[in-house]
Amino acid sequence: MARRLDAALELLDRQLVDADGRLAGKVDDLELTDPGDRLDRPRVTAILTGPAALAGRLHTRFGRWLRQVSPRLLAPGHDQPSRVPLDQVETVATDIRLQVAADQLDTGPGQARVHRLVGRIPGRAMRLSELLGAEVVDEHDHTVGKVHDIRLEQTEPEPQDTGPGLRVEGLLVGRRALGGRFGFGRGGVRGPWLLKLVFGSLGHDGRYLPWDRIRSIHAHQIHITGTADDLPSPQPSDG
Amino acid sequence: MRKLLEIALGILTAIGGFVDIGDLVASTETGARFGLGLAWVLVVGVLGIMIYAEMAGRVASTSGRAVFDLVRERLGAGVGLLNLAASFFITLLTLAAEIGGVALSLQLATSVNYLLFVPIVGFLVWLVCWRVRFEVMDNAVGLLGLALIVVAVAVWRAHPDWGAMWHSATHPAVPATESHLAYWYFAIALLGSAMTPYEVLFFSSGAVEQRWTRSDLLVNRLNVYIGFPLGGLLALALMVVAALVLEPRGIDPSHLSQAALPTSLVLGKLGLALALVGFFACTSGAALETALSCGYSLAQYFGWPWGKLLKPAQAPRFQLVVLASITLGAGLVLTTLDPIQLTEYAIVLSAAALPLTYLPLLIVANDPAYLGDKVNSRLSNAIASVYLVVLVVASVATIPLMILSKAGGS
Amino acid sequence: MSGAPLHPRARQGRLAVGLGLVVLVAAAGCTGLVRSDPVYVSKAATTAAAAASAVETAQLAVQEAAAGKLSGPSLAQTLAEAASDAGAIQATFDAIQPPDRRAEVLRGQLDRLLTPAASVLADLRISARWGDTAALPRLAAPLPKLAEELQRFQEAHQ
Repeated sequence: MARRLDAALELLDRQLVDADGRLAGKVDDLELTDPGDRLDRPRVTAILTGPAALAGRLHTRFGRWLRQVSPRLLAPGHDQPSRVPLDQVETVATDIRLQVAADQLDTGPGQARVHRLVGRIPGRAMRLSELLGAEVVDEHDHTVGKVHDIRLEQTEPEPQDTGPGLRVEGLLVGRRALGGRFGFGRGGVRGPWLLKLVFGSLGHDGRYLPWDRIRSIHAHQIHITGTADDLPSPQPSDG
Repeated sequence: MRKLLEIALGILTAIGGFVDIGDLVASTETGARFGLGLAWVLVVGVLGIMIYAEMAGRVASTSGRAVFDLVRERLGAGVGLLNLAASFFITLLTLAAEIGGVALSLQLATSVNYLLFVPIVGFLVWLVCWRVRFEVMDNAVGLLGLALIVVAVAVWRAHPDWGAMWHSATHPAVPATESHLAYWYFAIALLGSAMTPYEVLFFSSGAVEQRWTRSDLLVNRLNVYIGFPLGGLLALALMVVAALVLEPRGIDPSHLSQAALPTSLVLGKLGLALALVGFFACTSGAALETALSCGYSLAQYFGWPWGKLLKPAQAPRFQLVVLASITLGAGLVLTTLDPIQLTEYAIVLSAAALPLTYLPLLIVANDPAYLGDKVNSRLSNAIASVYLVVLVVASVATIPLMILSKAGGS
Repeated sequence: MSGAPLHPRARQGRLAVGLGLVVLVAAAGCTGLVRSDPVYVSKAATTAAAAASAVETAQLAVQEAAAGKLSGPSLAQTLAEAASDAGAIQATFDAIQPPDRRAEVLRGQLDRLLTPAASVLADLRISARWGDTAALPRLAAPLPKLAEELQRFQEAHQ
């Protein structure tokens, strides 16, 4: 029973709630592991939270400042973002419920070391924020647009791990995305007529880029096979 | 019976807690300079805050989430951060103004220099935020703020020409001694004082803290639809009393003492005493609210545990932000910047940032994922949209008007 | 002109004409045939309005005190603020350099109102701080006239 989710719309910036019902930060970024195998699409392996993770989302001077300052100021000893492996997630809804208590969660330098030593899933780890906003270029070097969102598929979990299985299906690409981000159209916000008019016209003229069409991802640029014209329109997510 | 008492308490605290230093300064000054020519703006502002506060309460009750919490979810990290920066800065400025207001009220009552009161006020605000239970705090200052009813009584006892007053309120005109630019500048300031951004932030966070649910929706509506207009009437009373006493004498108030003169003229020492209690209560209440709101906004953006109801150890970052905000606010007042001036800047900048606060709220209130079947009706959407347009126009006009009218200087 | 030295009478006549011209020019400067700087005039008007506001505040406070409606720290605070306002208003205005002769005349006229106003308000402040409420109405006697003149000044130069 597969369910389609749009990562930026439905996962990012959501509240994390621990097993005791306490607030445990926001989903600041997602860790994707790309097995590098053409037949096997990347999976979401962890939720990243904390100022170091947030800084990666903000491609501005403030983001860079935050990345430098956060280890000293807000999360002493943490220059890596706090990492919540996906198997500690219980449900994904308007907020993300975790199976563990917040104080068992947190990653310090110790945890990061453990993570490096123990059971790393083979493949290249990258962050969702590296994909968002990346420029998509077709084989004729024409710019198709920018990545607005990542379409995920929620499947039954793999035998080797617990927690929801989230696989990347493809990318949503387009020129403008403001309306969609606000929830008009994709998010089910039927909204006041006035706002729908204003933001709807800014809504994304999106195309859907299946993962297997990607040739390479490098330095915030994604090269694809084929041209922009043979990219289909996106199907709505299952919210 | 118990439920009825609860509702009554909620309404009374809404009335008493409505006015803050911004309303005090804006209403008194516009009354003294423009008579009742800007009364319509107050009506517009109160109606606006009613609509959006009800929305915020509904969002909090049905989704269990506070508004700022949802702002980041809806708008994303980048835009949410911009919203946070503006909101936090303005709320901090307002906090400083409120602390100044409390100190000024104490100065007026004791003749001791207000600067000496500032550290004490700051400490007490922090202590209450740290230690005192939410409901106790909310109710105490709200009920004490009811002392401002004395100003409404003063209006009645002054036996004004009601017909003439009604006429000048419904036929707004710019007095000969004032420029049109100043008139519109003060209109925006008055709007900013009535629709303060922190109000929505505090209201929704408070609702979540007290674990309002769908069954509390009716109480929420009663609080807002009865409490807020009556509170607005108190602000209007301040304007009227200034129009009756200060305007004919050409007194342009720049001190809290001048705001109290009309009430003492009509009602004597008792009236003055109650007015002073009212000034003290409404500014302290607002100081508490703005301090907590600084904490709420930052904690809700980053997803940290927040709330007065949590033990401080469970929400350390939240409490730290509250402490830091109070320190910064008190520090700002201690630079001897005139608190009344500070208030004017706070309300004008609030007006400029209003769309940033209310647009996300309007979007969230239309999202069935959070509100289910309690999303906005077409009517409330229509009215709220009209307001949003007005707020955008006002926001864009704020800085140019401030420059052109030299901040409303006469 | 002939090269011959002037008769003493003729010299006197020329002197008289010259002096007359000087007087005429000076008179022209004083009586406003030369336009004065409008910015300064407007500043003078707003200063008068602000001073009038402080004077009226003090007057109202004294009136309330006499009727027993206002007393103690609040009365003292109100009068203290009015007095410090008046002083600050005058100091700010006097610090501005008058741009021309006519402005200087204007400044003189306004100062002749501001100085007594500030002085009376200071006296009121002092009495109120001592708790000498009975003395206030007497000290405040010049205020109504000062207020009226300040308002007239403002209206004339608005």
